[in-house]
Amino acid sequence: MCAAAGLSIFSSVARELSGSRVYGDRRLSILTDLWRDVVSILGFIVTTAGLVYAILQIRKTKSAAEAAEAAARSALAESQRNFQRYAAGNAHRFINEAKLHVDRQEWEKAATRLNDLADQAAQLGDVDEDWRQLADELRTWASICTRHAAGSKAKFVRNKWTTFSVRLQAKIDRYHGPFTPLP
Amino acid sequence: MTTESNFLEIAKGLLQKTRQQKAPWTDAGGHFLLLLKNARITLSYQSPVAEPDFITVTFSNKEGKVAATWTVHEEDPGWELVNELHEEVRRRAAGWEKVLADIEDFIRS
Repeated sequence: MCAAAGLSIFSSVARELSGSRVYGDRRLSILTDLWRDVVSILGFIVTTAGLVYAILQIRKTKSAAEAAEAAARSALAESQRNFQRYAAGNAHRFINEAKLHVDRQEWEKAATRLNDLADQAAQLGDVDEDWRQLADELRTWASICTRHAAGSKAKFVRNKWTTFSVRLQAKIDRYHGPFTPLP
Repeated sequence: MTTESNFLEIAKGLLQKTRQQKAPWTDAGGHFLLLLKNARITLSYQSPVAEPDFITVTFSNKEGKVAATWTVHEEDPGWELVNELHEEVRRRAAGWEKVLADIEDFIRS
């Protein structure tokens, strides 16, 4: 009796492990082999379509990110151009005032305006190395004017000043104006 | 004590010797150098951004120790003479005679 019960339990466990359930002589199955194949193929197709869709979406996202980056770069460039025009506009005003003060030998005012000009030139130095050089020269001229304001009897070298101011004016003109294409 | 007039006389003498091709000036990179038996003379031209140009003449002993320096600024009394000397020295050091002879040969040919 006990031996028979043990054999029955052993048989049940063996069937569970084999993955199929057999009730009597019938194997229990929801789908036939044909439908299982159909479902498998459909699953494969859906998976492939999903993969293709995912790839397309990734590409779209990438091109959108690239477009956003290009737009950001363009906005930055436009902002820089606007700032350059603004600084060049200030420089245009300052150089005219500085020339006037030098002509009138109002050395202190001339020094102030030349230092203001040097500040603007230094701001533009990030985009064009020439501006750094001009900024240095402007500081030198400003110091000369300061010395004259303090009563220096040294000669103001007018021919060098004229040459320098013409060169500076030409440089400013290249950046000044609403429709001037910037270098 | 060396006075301004001494320097002017020296400059005149140097200019004359240079024109006679008896002063072997050499280009020492940024300045010109004339080596004599017991002395050396240097001539340098400076052009500051916002100040007058100036020429410095330095007189040293044969070891190079500076004995006297004469600086002449643009529009100073001796400027024309010293500037003329500098121009002459520059031309000689660059071999202007040879350049000129070559140009004349080319024009004649």
